[in-house]
Amino acid sequence: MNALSARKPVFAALAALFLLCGGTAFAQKAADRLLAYEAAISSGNPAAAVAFLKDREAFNLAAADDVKGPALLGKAEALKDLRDLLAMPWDKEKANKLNGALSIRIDADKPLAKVGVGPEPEKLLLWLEKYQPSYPRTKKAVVRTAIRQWEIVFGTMTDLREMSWDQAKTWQGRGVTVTKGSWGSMVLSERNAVIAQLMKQDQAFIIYNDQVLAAKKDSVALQASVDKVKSRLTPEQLAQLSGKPLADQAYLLGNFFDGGAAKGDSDLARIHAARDSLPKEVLPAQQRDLLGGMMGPAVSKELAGTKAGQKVLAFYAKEGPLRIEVRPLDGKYSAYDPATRTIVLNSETIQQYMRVKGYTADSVMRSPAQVAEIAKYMSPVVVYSSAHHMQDSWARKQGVYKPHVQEDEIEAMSLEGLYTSEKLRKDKVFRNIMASSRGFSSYATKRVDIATEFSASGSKRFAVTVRQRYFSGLPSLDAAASQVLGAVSDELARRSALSVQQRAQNDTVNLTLQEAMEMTPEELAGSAGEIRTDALAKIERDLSALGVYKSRYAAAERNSRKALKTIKTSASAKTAAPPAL
Amino acid sequence: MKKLLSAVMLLGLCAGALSADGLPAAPAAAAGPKFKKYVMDHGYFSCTVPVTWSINREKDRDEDYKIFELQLLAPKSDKAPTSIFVSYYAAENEDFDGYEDFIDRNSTNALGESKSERENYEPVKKIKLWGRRAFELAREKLVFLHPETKSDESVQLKEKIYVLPAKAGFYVLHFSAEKPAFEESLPVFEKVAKSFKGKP
Repeated sequence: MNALSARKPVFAALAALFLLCGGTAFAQKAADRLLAYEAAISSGNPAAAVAFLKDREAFNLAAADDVKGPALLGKAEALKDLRDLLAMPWDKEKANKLNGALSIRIDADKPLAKVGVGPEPEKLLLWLEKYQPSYPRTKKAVVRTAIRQWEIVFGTMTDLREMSWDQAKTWQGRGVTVTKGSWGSMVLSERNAVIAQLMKQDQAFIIYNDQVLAAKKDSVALQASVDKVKSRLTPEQLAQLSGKPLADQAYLLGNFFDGGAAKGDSDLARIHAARDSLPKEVLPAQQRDLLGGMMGPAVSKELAGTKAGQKVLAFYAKEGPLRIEVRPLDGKYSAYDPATRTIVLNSETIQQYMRVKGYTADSVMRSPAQVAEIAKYMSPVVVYSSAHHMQDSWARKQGVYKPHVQEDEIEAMSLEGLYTSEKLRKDKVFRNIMASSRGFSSYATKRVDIATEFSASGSKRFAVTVRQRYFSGLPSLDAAASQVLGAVSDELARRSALSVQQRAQNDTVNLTLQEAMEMTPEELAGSAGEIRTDALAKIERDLSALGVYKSRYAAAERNSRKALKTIKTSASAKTAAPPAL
Repeated sequence: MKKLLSAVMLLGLCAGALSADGLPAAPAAAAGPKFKKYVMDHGYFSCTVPVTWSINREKDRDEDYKIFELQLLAPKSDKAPTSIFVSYYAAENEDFDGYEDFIDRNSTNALGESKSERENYEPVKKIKLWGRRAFELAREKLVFLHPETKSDESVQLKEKIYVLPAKAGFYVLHFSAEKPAFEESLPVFEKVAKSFKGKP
């Protein structure tokens, strides 16, 4: 492309200076502006990146170059995304979330590294000083914690750290030494791996992992409840608990206080909710399959009569039956399985409900009423996961590569929030189940929380909450696209130097389009060199036209917000009407 | 060379353009040295904002939703951000069916409760805000950070909201902070609110 290849360094530098100070209104030809954008973006200028993405004329001119265009677009999207990410309200308690968000953006194979932000994490600090000098000192301190700066993690008194690494024990003289110098050249994921090892040896390091920290707090709360309940036990029962790990003590206590005996007792409720199921409360594989089969029709009945539910039902009326599977899920209440196009519900969440209600596997199999009750209880997360099914189905029909991004979660959580808001107002039984289950189940409390947040915030601000509070570690669509585009365009540029025969020969052993389409942005960016050329070109085309994706997300958002606005509060649901003016 | 000189001259002219993005360069004299004046697009409202707080805008979405708002973020916060939203909800806005709807949906949880183990909503107060009719809402709530997973990590928020009806649409001034940080930044919110000027 002429515009990109015919460089005029002096003019480009000057024009870049204009962009830096916001002079985008300065009348130039598109080709000249493109030169200026290219120079400024290459030096990491976020204002230039934003201006370029808004300048349709220059953007289209860049896009005309199949090789350089996507690379420039990838860098620009990455810079805009980084600017937006850091503009969020990060505080010290969210440093781990910021760490997660930066880990997927700053690495050796990421577009940001090509504009000087990484792969060494400290380069982000230099970028901040240059382009966001007005950020408060506290925010910069959070960034230093998020990038795991040596001084923050290990202090200023030492330049090396001896540590064990799995079987390589320090005390056996086979430990690993990490120096300040080697730390400086590690990318974020490598630093996190070191810290994960340190956590195993020193509790002080668990502050760098929110999940480990939260699990520790839960464990402390469970221990306190177990200790309180022990005062009600006989000497024989106490003897059985003696010397047992906490999980075993909770299990035995569940046996001592069996059959939904937790009513009104918060300590027992915590123990019942946290313990493993007793044999009679466990749903064996065959009964889980049966329950899954019964849940599809039962949940469909629940969804009818709500706007969010109707949307889900309309989707399944076109796309086949709503298939539900009940099985253990790691850390989640529900999930959409794209391989089987099935919604999976966590059997442990259902078994917890059964434990507290005093239901057994046999009683559930014999009672349609108990199945309907469980369907009611789990229906909000079916709605949530069905939104992910809709997204997957859309991508398949469009034939486009679709990574999992924040926009997916905004859509899914909004639909769940809308559904739960509607049900709480319209369905007294649902309302009673959710209200009463909050005492023992954080699952139920979270469903009510999402409905409250969605209803009170409105659709617009709820999206901000999802991005900032719930899924800050997930890339936005722009970030994912830039990550993939950078790697793909580099690889295509490299291959353009190969002969046709060499390319064809390599492609015979490379991964197919179908395999590439199933990869995460991270996987795709990391393995672009092993993917067929036609597949890379297809994915590059997909992600260079983000308008297709954005239109779909915008349509889904419009749908939810219109439905939310029409929900009217019934007198029974509300207690605090505003006083008359 | 002529081109280069023209460019340098223009550079001087546009030097203040970025900093003036919605913000007059000079602080408003009456607001004191730590605040400056902010004027919302279309002149929907103006107020003073603390210079040390950062300002977030979503201009495209504002136009789409007909909700024009700025978010002010405190330089220092605890577990959750300390923030102030100043918002104008146009009559045809996409999220709320008038100020009564906003108050209704913000004065209880989704179950219609004003008190629960994790929330406490104060009764809605009818007030006068510098001669203008308004409502005051106050609440505390413990909110989950990962509601789609089994993690129960939460933060305790304390919030104060002023709702001001207008002839067309309504205004909302919303202050949110983690409980221990609330009192410290409340005077900032009150100063922003006191300087607020919206359409009748």
